[in-house]
Amino acid sequence: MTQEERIERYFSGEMDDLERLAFDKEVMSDEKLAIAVKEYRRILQGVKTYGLQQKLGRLMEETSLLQNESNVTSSRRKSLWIYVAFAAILAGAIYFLILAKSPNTEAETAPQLYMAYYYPDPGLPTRMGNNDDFDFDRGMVDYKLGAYKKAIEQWEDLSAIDARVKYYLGAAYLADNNVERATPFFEGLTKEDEFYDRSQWYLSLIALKKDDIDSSIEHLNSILQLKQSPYQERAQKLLNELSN
Amino acid sequence: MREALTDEELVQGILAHDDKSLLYLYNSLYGKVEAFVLKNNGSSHEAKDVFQEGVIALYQNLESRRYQLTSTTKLSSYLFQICKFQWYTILRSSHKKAMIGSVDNQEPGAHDRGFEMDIKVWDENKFVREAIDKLGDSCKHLLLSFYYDEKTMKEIANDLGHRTNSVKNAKYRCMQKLKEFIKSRPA
Repeated sequence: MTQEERIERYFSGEMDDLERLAFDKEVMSDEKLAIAVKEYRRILQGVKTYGLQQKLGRLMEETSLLQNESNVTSSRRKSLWIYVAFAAILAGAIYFLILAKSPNTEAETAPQLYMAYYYPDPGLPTRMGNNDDFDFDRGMVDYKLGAYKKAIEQWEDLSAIDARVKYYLGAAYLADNNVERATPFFEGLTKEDEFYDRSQWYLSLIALKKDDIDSSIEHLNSILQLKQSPYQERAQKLLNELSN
Repeated sequence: MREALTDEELVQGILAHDDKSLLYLYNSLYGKVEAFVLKNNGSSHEAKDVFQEGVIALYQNLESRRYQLTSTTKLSSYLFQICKFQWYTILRSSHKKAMIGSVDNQEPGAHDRGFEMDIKVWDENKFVREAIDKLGDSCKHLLLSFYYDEKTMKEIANDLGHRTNSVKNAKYRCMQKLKEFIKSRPA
């Protein structure tokens, strides 16, 4: 076993008490090993905090985008309200009709639910097999590295756009914050397709992002209507939250 | 709709890099940090960096138990102090040095030795993160999968469609490269 492998075992907690004790003693008497352990600890801390930094940056960016969208929606809603109120003065009966259809109180919370539930699809294992699979897998490697635009380019060039490709094109566009381009890809899947349930899940989240709770519920129900799907539990959970 | 988290829940969440806790911190404290930085000659962009680095310093201090919850210091107050201290450190070391005299005179941590040590650890860690950022995408992905996501070599190999041994070798090469970058600034 190399020195690095031993240090890794030490930090990962794989050593039993005896081995750990012996290793601790060795570190105290072997200056070179002590330096290597210190260096490993710095790197381990560095990678963990680098991962945290990336995650926090992404969350902050998404939240800030959603807040901007929410502000725009809210200012549009204000203008609409003034118009509706003005029309109402002219025609009292229409006023009540329009008021009944005005935005409901849950509209502000829908984007927050989107943030709480949305995670990019983790992607598929890559095997680099036959030609088409090889090209699909190359895109998948980009996708998993977060290079969504590169993945989209790769997948849009494929000769056959099957259900799997459609779904991942949708997933990549969504992860790249392009909801408008993501939607038709998800909508292109039918009940018979393998990725139908996931597509419906993301369509329900997209609807939440757009404050369209009714449409979100519709997509969640289509997951629940399937015979079985691993997405049913989370669909039910979100549905319960939307009903509260 | 936002569910309030207790300090104990937040500590657990931050240590686990949990999205909900990180978002909670951002939603409840970022506005205050941004207002402080803007008031003291900074920009929104700088406020975002200060907040991110503040959370990272908090994470390190929680992990090393340098900071422990007490009934008197709330976690959010502690994080705000870190962010303020970091902003003063940036002002002191940058061309904005001359502006220090005009900023908020309650400079935190300036006379607090423990706090200065926290910042030193954070600074060293920042250097390592910058070195990681210089690596290629595949090295970053590999190291993050192993040390951050805590996947096994076999799992990473399966994900990438490679053999375990070649992934092990690739990781060794990435580590060597990273060590070379780091050597330029010994601990």
